[in-house]
Amino acid sequence: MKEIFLLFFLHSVASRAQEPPRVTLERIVDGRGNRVCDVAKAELKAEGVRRTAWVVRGLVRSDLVLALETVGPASLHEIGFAGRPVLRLATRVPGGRVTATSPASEFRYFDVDLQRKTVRCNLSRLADETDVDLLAAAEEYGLLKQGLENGSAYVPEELPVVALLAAKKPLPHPSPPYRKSVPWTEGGPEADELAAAARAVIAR
Amino acid sequence: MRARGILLALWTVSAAMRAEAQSPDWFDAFRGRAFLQGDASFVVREKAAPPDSPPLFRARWVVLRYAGFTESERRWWPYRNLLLTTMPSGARYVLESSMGFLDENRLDEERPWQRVASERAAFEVWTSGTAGEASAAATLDAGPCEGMRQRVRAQGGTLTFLLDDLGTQTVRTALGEITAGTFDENERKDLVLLLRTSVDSNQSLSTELPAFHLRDPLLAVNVAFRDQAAPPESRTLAFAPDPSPTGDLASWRGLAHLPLDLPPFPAIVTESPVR
Repeated sequence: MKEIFLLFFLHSVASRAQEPPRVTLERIVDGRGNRVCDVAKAELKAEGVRRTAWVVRGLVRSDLVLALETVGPASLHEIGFAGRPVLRLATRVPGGRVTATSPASEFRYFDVDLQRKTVRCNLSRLADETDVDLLAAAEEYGLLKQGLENGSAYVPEELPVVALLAAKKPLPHPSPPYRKSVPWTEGGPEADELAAAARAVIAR
Repeated sequence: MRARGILLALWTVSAAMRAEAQSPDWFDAFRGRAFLQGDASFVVREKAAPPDSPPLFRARWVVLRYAGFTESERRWWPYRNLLLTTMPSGARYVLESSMGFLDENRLDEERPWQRVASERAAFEVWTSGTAGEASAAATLDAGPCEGMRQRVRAQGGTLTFLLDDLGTQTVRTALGEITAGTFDENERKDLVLLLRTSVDSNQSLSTELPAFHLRDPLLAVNVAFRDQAAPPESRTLAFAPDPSPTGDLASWRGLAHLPLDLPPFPAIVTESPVR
């Protein structure tokens, strides 16, 4: 499994010297138009490597970071809070065996078994080893997605959230609070700072 | 320079001892005076093989009881149900299905369940939690690790899993990797042969609880080598009584961790429901 991380590392080194990443900003608002949270999505493509980083600010106390790096069919996902340890999920091929790694231990599973208690138990343990607030943050994110009027299905960047939601299996919310995603174009220092945070994740 | 070497050696020993201390010792769960409840010897051959053909392996079935509770609870004393197997090559294995000392207030702590040991390695399955019935609401609220779960500990790795998931690709693959890292090629070949042993006979020590079955220790090897488990029609090896005289258990003392003194376990007198 070390080879897959080495592969990502070598490609990352090569891609860092390329042009700056493209960043898009979104604001999630409630029914009255009040801000719920902001999301910065940074993307960088270079030499067969695609790197994305999402920074979600305001959903929970700390910035929630979702990062994805793909090299050919292999992918490396990360979920965590800014400046804190991350949980990694790596696969060689889509639908293949997933290697989940916390700072303390590792567990490997097949996606087809994600709903089984063995996988859920081990994933929740790894999440807690990474950060005790991680499962709760995934649950908040899941609730946000449920209530999103113009929301889409989960996309690859959100795979760690899907995995942690499967692990925790929260009860479905009977009426999730209404949320709407709107473009955040007015800019300002707040937006610049969030965009810089997403770029920093890409540059790691 | 010499002092630094000594310090380094001490640190290495201490680190090794710390690592050792993190894993519970299987045999700590079997305390108190030990008794021998059953001892029988078998040869194992293909069902279709002539009775005078050389056995594929020999097996000695031994059940030990440990005075873990009071005399009135003797029926429920901790036990070790062992299958001591010897291959024609001389390689020996201990298969074990056991229940150690149980503290009802600490059911969430790990306790021994199944073990496969060779002369150089061991694959242990520990169990924890309870399998109790739960209401539908409680099941929804329960965390993913609630209920009874198993933990494999072996030189080749560790794995926490639930028995219901033993057949999943995730668990089978992980167990395969652990056994590959625990037993060498010859050991794996020998142990996989045991998977072909028929458990049709259902031979047990008694009809009362706890009924110790000859097939129980074979579960250990069926967990360890789950990815190679044989379908019922392929289980064509059968136990037959060994006509050769049964020796004492001294030669197994080290490998199977048998106590020096093993008096017979006194028969349990069934109380009449009418007094």
